[in-house]
Amino acid sequence: MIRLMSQIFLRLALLVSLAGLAACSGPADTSGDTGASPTVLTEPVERRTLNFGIIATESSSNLESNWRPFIAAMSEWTGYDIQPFYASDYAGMIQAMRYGSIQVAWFSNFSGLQAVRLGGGQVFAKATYPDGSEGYNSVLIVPVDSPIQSVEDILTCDGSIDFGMGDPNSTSGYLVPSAFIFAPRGIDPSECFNSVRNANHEANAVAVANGLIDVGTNNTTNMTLLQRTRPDIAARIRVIWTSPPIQTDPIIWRTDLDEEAKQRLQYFFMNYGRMGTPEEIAAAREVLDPLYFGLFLPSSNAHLDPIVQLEIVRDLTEARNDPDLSEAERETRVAALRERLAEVEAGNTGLISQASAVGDVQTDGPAPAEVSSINWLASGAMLGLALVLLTLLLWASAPRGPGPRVPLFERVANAVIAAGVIIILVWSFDSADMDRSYLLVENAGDMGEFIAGFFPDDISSAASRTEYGQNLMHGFSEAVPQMIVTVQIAIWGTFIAVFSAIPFGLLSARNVAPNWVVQPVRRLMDVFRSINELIIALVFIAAVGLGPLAGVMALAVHTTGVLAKLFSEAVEAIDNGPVEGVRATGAMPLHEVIWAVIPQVAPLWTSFGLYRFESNARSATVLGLIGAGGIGQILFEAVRAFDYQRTAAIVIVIVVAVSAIDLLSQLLRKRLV
Amino acid sequence: MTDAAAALKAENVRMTFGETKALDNVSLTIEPGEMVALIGPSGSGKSTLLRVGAALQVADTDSGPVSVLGKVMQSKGKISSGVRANRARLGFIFQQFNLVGRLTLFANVMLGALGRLPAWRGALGLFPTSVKQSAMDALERVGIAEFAGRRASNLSGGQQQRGAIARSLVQGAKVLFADEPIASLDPVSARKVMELLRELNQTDDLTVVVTLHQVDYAQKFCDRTVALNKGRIVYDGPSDGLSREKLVEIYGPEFETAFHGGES
Repeated sequence: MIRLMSQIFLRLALLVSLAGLAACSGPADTSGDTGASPTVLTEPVERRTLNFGIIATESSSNLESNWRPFIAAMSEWTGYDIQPFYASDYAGMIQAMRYGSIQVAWFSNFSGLQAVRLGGGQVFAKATYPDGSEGYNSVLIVPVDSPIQSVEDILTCDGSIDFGMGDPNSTSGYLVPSAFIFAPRGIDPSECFNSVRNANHEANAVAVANGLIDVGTNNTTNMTLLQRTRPDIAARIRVIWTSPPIQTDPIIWRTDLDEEAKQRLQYFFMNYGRMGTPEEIAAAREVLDPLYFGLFLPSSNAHLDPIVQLEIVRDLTEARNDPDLSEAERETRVAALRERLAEVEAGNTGLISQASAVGDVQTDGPAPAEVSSINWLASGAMLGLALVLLTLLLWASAPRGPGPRVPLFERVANAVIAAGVIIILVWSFDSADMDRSYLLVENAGDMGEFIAGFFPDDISSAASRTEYGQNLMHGFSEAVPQMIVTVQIAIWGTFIAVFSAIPFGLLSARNVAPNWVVQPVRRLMDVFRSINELIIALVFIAAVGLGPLAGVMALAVHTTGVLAKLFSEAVEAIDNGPVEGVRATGAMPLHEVIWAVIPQVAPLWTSFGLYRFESNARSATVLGLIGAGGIGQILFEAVRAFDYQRTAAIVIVIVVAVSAIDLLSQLLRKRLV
Repeated sequence: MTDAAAALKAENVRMTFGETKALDNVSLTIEPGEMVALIGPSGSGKSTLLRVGAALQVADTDSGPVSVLGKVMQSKGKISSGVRANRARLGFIFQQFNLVGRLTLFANVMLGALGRLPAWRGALGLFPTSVKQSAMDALERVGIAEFAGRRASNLSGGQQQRGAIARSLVQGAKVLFADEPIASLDPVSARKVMELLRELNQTDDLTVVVTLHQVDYAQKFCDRTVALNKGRIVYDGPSDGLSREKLVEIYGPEFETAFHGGES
């Protein structure tokens, strides 16, 4: 057994080292793509790796190919290996910067502010646009034939409009419209509109062009880009509102990055596209163009001052209009915000590094008194209902006629359980929105229409079908490699979980461990199990940075919690006879576990492990959202871009992969039991 | 070895389950080399006595000591500290065989050596050749060596019970406690198991204490019979001294069912 294990470990070690070699030799191929090669700075003493974070505001497949030459140039100029990390969500990137696994990143203004505040970042450069401008405007867009003419038309708040908002951390898509349109008028978009959906700029533009939403937020940068890349979509959009100008995006490094690295990065950003032969400059321009960058300019944290100001304006308006605040609270809050505003206007940039203090907490005020009294009334009614129900059930279960008597205690217990189930269902009815379930039938046609988006535009036309087929094939070729990564994440996540769940599962089984061990271990497993993988992944991003490893660890922790519970339940259900049989030979408790407990539960444990592997393959898709890689990342982008045919391709890959894993594990389970 | 020490010595043993007195001040001494049957109706305490003797169950706190081969197994409701070493010299046979179903018969029999192997060897399953040899010898001895590679759960009841006996042989047990060893077996297997126990008693000088439901088996295979009723010893003497009157006294008027397993 030992020999076998050591062989397995040797092979694993070999595999790991081979994988490491492959990873090291990988990026070397891409250098030299750029054409520009001015190595003016001396080579650094040691070739180190800098991790460069990029927020995916567009579909990530374009993103990676667009950024690749830029990254190569950056590597060449700085003499460092620049490792790009893409995430479609800000939270993961900021977390990664905070814990130093990302040293430099391209942020938007608002997420950049969070990165400076929370992530230990510092602005050192900013991008400009290809035309040399240093800013952009937020816009509101409507379909070209929409009756909406001005921003006033949408602010009637008659609940007829479907509104496409930006990501809550997006400056132009969320913060600017909030600060300049909604906050000054005291309007809450979620109440004003029929629906408010958060998506990225491209998604909003496509949605508006297709009439899926009535109004969307966007910005001038993206509109220009759209005119160039997708003129058909741009032609179907009309701008109804333009905001005051907002500065370009900041490039942020960690404040504690060493001087040499800072110098080299500064050198690259300030000289790229400016220095060298005319051909080299032209080549650099070609690299920058698809990224919609002109040249870079030096900048500092002061870059974010207008954003801080925006934020304060927003908080100020919200504080003025918040109905939950008492007059006194309102006064204090407004006064504090005014003071901060004055300070920022006076040029006190130190405020950036402070937590947003007064502004951010206003929504979490204590619940007003009326609400709690209503709750009392509701619970009173519930209690009454419970008692009536209980009596009814008790009466119904009363023994009549011949037959054995059921003890009263048992009848009461059964009635309590039955009444409890009914009450829980009733109690959840409203909150789960079940009263609106008739809409499922009423609006079945709308669902059909939506689902039709996943299929060819015109199923009767051969051309449309061919195009659809090509879209699907393209989607497959993109999704399959990502699906494989996802499955690999699930494999390691489950493997680690199974190994840690064995001791935890045994220690939380009442027939193996004493109660004072069982209880704390079980509570710990409850914690593991109840925390969402996404949250656990954020914790691990702090240590290992963005990427699949954080996903693996998140799955491992969560699954350990689940498996330990299942494992311990299997252990508690074993036949105690064999355990006693082994004990009677004079064996130690450890031997009883190894020789009598584990052989009995092994088939069930394996089955649970395989089952969790199946569900982890599904869960791993979600982890892509925060930059843990795999198929989830492209799935969410496709969904956000309303690109349903691409979504269809990805979903098909997921379904096929999950079914295949399912079948395989069923076969294995049959073999093992 | 302590030849002089009794194979089993129980002194004023008490054991209560709730209100029921399973063992009510029982004192009993069994000498090495004896083959003793424990009989009595269900709930008379005969199984409890064996289980208390192997310290698989803890007796009451006011109970006297129980010792096997001169070593105290438990006393006053506390299991002795060296109980594992003492258990290793005592084979225990269960009504439900208690082999580990998913392990091979061979592996099950080798488990008998766990008590005397270093812990790490036992944990990793690295049994030395000598143990493997003694396991095969034991299987040969009980006549089921050909099934060594089969999973225990795939064997018949009689084969499993003989496997359990083989496990005791690998333990090197000097005393064998058999708790209803034939109650779950068909008559032919039952007879074979009893013959095996008798043979081990006669040729290896193994002390055998066996609880039985059927008095005829006690009379046929055991020299001495101890009868219990409601936790008290009501008869202790030669098996053929059990008169009809005595049996009626032990089992009540329906004692015939106990005599032939309900067949006649």
